[in-house]
Amino acid sequence: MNKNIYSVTQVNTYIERMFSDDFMLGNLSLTGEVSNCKYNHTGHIYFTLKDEKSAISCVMFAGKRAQGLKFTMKDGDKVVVTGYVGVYSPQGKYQVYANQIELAGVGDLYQRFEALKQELADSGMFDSMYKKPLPSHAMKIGVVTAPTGAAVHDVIRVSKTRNPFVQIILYPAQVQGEGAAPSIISGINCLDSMGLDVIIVGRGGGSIEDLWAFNEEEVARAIFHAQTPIISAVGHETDFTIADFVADRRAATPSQAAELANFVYQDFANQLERYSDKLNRALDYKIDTIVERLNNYKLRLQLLRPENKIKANEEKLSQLAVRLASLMQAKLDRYESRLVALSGRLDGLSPAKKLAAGFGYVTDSKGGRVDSIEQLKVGDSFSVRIKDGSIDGEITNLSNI
Amino acid sequence: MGDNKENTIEESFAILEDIIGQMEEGDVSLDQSFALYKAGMEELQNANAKIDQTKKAVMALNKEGQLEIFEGDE
Repeated sequence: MNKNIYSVTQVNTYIERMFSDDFMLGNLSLTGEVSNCKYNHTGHIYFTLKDEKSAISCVMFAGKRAQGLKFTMKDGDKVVVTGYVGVYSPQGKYQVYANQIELAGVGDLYQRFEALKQELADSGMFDSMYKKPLPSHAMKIGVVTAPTGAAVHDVIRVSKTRNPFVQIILYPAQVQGEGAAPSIISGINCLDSMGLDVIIVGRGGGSIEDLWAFNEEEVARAIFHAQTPIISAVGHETDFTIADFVADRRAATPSQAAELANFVYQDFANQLERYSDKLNRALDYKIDTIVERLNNYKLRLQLLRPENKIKANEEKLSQLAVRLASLMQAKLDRYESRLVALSGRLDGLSPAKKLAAGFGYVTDSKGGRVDSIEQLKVGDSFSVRIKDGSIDGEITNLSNI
Repeated sequence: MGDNKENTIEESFAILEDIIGQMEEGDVSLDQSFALYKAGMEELQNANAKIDQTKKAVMALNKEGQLEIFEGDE
């Protein structure tokens, strides 16, 4: 017996610290076959990983599953587990605490995918200069996909919604498993020879193995060499395949592929309607403008007619005549009032009026007017005319005043 | 202008834009306007005739490479 005796807890705690201090055990990936796989009601997964000679306990806690496990793991699966090895001291057990579990072989596929992608990219097959533009108004659309499932249904539904008159030709292809690639290739070649406007090649979502045919080099080459523009639509938004890189256009989903392939018929009809309206309006406007100008000319011509000129002159003349007449009248009126004034004054000066007032008009014997005594001498006869007759007499006396 | 039935719909649209533009400019004669209008209407017909407005069944290629109506949907 040693002189130091430890408790079980002390030993397990010591081992636990050794494990946690170990660099290699802190983060590793190990591969093996799943057995004794149990989904605990708390969400944790307990399983054993084994190979021909050995086994190790594993656990994946519920909190790790969303990020670390993308498939439903079951007994017999060959997997790669990444995590750390730790001690569960209550039982003195060591086990793998898994952060991530992947199906073995996926890594291989991924490497193959990357290698082929690089090779085809280097050969220029992904260059934008080879990408054919999609037709703006496709009427005949080819579809290479499985005749059952969501993909074909989505393509037909979306296409018919956008353009009820589109002609869809389906090549029912095998899209996964043995023989999928040759089936897809023959679909592409067959539809390419039919003179369609655009071809959709794709399938719905699935695992990387399910989608694998779309990563085959021969499929990529068939897409590349097709004369018809090709839209790839493989799996979901996040799935990228070689077919996506080589296609003329990648759609995230089969539904989106149908949106890219089809124009909206109603938009087209509306556009025609707008053009028709614009043409009619432009012509109406032109005609209106011309009619308006004609009316304008007519009006101006009417104003310039000779009759109108004569009429205008006559009017002017008559206006002048009226002015003249009124000026004349004014002048006449002025003369008349002056005449009245003058005749009044003249009247006052009349000799008859003076005689009437008692004055007499003296003439000599010869009838000449006498206005001075110098013209007469005593003894001369004279005559005085008064209002109602004349008096004759002889001068008896002359005296100066 | 309206004599080529080979125009794509996009080309027809471009021609229509051009015709309408000319008509709206105002310095074209009435005769020219009528000619442009006629050409425009013909181009509209052309564009419309490009779309075969009959509904078509979805067709599928059978094993013999012949087209038959696709029953798998709808």
